[in-house]
Amino acid sequence: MNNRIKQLRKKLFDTDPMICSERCVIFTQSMKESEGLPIAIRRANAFYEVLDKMSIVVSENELIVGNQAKWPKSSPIYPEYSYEWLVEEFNGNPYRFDERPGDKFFYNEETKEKIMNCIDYWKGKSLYENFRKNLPKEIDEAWNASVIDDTWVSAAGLGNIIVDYELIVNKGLKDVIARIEKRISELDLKEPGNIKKKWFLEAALKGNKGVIRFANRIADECERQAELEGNVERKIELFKLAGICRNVPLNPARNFHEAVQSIYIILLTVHLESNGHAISLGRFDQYVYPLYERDINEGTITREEGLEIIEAFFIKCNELNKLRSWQDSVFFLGYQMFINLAVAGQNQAGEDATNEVSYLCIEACEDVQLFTPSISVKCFEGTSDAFMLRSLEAMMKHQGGQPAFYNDKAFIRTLRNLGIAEEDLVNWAPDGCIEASIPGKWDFAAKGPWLNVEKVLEITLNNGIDPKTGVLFKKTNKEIVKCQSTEEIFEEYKLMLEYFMDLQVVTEHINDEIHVLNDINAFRASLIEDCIGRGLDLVEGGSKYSVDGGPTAGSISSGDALAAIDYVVFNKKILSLETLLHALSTNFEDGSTTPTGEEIRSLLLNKAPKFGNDDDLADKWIVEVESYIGSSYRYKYKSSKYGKGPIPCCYSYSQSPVTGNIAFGKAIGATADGRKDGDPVNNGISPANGSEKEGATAACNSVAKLPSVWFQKGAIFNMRLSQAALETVDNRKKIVDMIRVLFENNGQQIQFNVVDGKIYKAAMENPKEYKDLMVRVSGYSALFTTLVPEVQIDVINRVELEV
Amino acid sequence: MEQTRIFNIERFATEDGKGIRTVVFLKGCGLRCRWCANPESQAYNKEVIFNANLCINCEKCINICKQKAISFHTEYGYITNSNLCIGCGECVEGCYSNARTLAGTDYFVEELVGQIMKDEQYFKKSGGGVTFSGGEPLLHSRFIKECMERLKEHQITSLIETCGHVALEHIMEVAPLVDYVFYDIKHIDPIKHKALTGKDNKLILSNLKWLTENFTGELSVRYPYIPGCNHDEEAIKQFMDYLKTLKNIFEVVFLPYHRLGLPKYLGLGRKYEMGELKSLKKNELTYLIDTYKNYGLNIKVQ
Repeated sequence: MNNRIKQLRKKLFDTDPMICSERCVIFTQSMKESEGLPIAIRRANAFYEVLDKMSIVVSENELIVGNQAKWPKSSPIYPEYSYEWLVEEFNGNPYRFDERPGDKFFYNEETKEKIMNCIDYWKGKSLYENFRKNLPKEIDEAWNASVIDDTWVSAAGLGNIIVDYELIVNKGLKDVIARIEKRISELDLKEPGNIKKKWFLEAALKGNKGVIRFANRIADECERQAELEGNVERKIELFKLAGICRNVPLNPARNFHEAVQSIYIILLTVHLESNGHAISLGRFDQYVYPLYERDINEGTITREEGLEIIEAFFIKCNELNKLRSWQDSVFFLGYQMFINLAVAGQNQAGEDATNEVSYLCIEACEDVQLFTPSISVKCFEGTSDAFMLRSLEAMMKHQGGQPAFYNDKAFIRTLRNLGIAEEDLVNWAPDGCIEASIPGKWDFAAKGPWLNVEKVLEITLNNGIDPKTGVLFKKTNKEIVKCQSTEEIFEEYKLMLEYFMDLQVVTEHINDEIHVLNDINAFRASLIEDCIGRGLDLVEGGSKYSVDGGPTAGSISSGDALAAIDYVVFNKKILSLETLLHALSTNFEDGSTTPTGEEIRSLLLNKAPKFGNDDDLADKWIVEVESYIGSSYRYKYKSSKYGKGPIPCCYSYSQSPVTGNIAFGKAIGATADGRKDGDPVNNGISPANGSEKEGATAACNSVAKLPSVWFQKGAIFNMRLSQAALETVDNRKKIVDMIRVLFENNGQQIQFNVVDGKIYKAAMENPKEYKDLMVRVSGYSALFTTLVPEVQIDVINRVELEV
Repeated sequence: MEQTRIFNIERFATEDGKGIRTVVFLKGCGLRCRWCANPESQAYNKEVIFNANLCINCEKCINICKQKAISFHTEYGYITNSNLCIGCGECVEGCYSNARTLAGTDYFVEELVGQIMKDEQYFKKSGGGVTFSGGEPLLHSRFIKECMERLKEHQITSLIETCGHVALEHIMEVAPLVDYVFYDIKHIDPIKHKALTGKDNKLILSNLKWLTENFTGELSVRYPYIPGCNHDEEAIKQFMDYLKTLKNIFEVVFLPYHRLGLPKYLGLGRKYEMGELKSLKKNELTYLIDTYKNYGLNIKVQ
């Protein structure tokens, strides 16, 4: 990390996230003026206006330029999706943005006023309110009971997209524009449906032109500053940056620096078009390497300069931000944007694709120690020990769980099952947390309501009634207390899961229809195959591939709960089912029973088998739960795009709950895995806190039993390691070997937390001293001190495997 | 089929030999080293260890125990009198807080091999295998031999961690099947050895000699470095001088004293004999590598 990077990094840490009104004001004004036009064109015009009028900021010493808002790390506002919470939270309900317990955003009165002035226009028009208006009663009830929740993709834009960066780097937007124009010229407007396609394509054209205009405005600003700059070196650099932004992203990148700048402008503008998160970068090392290699061979760049560009780019990725409602924030704490960047993996010939840029990305990850982008190492059997060891070393220094390791073998198996073309398989890349996408060919790697899997078990055990809200969702066939085996209970649980999965799917169909009416984003769609050809937006079915599905939380906890019932009630016969159900309904607080409530809780926690110990008594129940959910999503349901072009248009299973395991846990009463009312459920497919007792290989073996073939949307496996466990090369090699075995057995992914509990505790007590301490919380890493205390405690409670 | 008594199985052990290993701790030992970190390893009979941190003082254990072996001690808590205990494990099962652990489970060869084989892939990938530790594993040489024969069929390597205080025939029984031996020497002086461990070291030294002449695998000699017991310059010099006379020693490893065994003493209702002696850090012993660098031995501190 050279001085410039140190300075840029320091500035990033010294900057508070703000709220920026510019996009809100310009966008709203444009939308007011375009009433009556097709939504695709209205949004494209408004997008263009934003890019044409917003402030352009080029900061001191920047090497990669462009800004999403007036200040770095500030969030623009997207009132078209939802606004009610803005009003509420500006008024302090439940918290003012700058007084939240986590993910604070600061603002001044002028900003607030400007935003509030826009909101009147949106009343009755926002996507979220129209969506909620159209939900049937049973979905509203399930949402209010926290069994499902679709806030993330209805109160904000749809995300989880990887556009075709390879195309942008190699051909530029020029190529996209030419193809759009050609397509428009080919359209026979007499043919039914073509008018709508034309509208979409014109919108795409407008969007592309807006982005080019934006790049030129950045170039103007660089030139303006260059004229005034006294330092000759920086003056030359500013002129050079101006030249870069005049050339890209319109044209193919002429060198490595241009390639990275071009990618950043695209990343940035996609974030400005809509605020869907998890706009990821795909296989960065693969599509920039040819330019890097050429620059190195021609002597126009040194390795150090290449590293500096990558580090500057990583820092800039952290300037992008998203203000979510507090209700939504609790699922995604830590200012998360989920910008994933994949390195290594294999090429079409099955050879190791690791290159020098892969190593530079790892080195940059280690140097700048930031949580964005999330660096993901794609591994296959040909990935060298040297690269994996280098990645582990970087992870030790990063202390925030990056890079994480991903398994080509398992993901390719899953994608092949979904019907993805053979030639696309090796190009898969993790999007967002972990969801598998084919860059430039897939619409939304994840989209759809969350499902609270253990809440469904609670409702099942209460014969179909949610004990918290009193709502009867669906009566169980049999009164649970009369069940004679865990299998019988499980059959009832499956029916209840089916009921709520059905609701999830109906919810998402409604959500899609509302998005089709209100939320066409033609610019980003034009960068994904085959939206231009079909003249359709992503949400209308423009992409080559599409699989829906939102995150789930608590599958492992549910399986643990079933295992506990099986063990204490039916197998060891320590308790009657009635006694157990009573203990759950009284939150283990009834001291008048024998054994007492608290004793029953200890029994469930300490004596019943738990996932993560390579113990089939527990693992088989988790496998049952996951096989049922996973295969149902795959084969029973169709997404709204089915038959419109994309394949396969089913659903898939996600177990990357980010902090949703905590948010959802609050809605669940006491459960048979020993959880108390309101406690978090397990995180991803990581064993529940405190239940890993047999060591790392046993945890890996349990994970390897899970049916990962259903996990297109990924399943996060967190393992905490002490620094000592990684101190010697010999020990690190053992970790590499462990990862390889996990991956041979179709484990999908593993990530490590490499900090001891003492440091976290110290950080809780003295956050100022630790403002750059990182932690990985399911699928992402965050600054520890930005997390709310209960999340911090959750992190500390993870079992530390003394490797 | 042989059966024997095991007090712990540790998977993914990375500090007990090459690669990823599963360590099997066998119960019973002929020595009584004052610093022993596994006091529950010494006696062959099953023992119950109490953990005061987890105890909720419900006293259920006292009522569960039909032998009336459990009583409350102000210093240690609900301790099992091992003279009365028959190792039925009912108090352990009945303690929902997990404040009681049974040290000693009887395994058939088949069962243990099944446990070990769960990590077969990790052993193969990392060049690891099984480590038999204790207690004194060679007291169970027949059992170990049978296990090793089964594991050899799967090309799994084995390591024996021994104090050497066993009849030579035990060693001879397993030596052809063993890949690595970790051999402990506690003191070179027989009288001091007896004072520290309860037995003199004649058998230990003669067994070591036999190994250096007959064992074909890697032989690592280990020296627990215990302040106040065997850390003085003279003792270590004598030890090193002795090793110099032997052949085929792959490495000499000094093991710094630690106090991690303390809670187990308390849990067994036993006094910890090392008092307040502080744990040592690795770097406090590294001087030994310098001191004896001319001995032609590969010296390490672990």
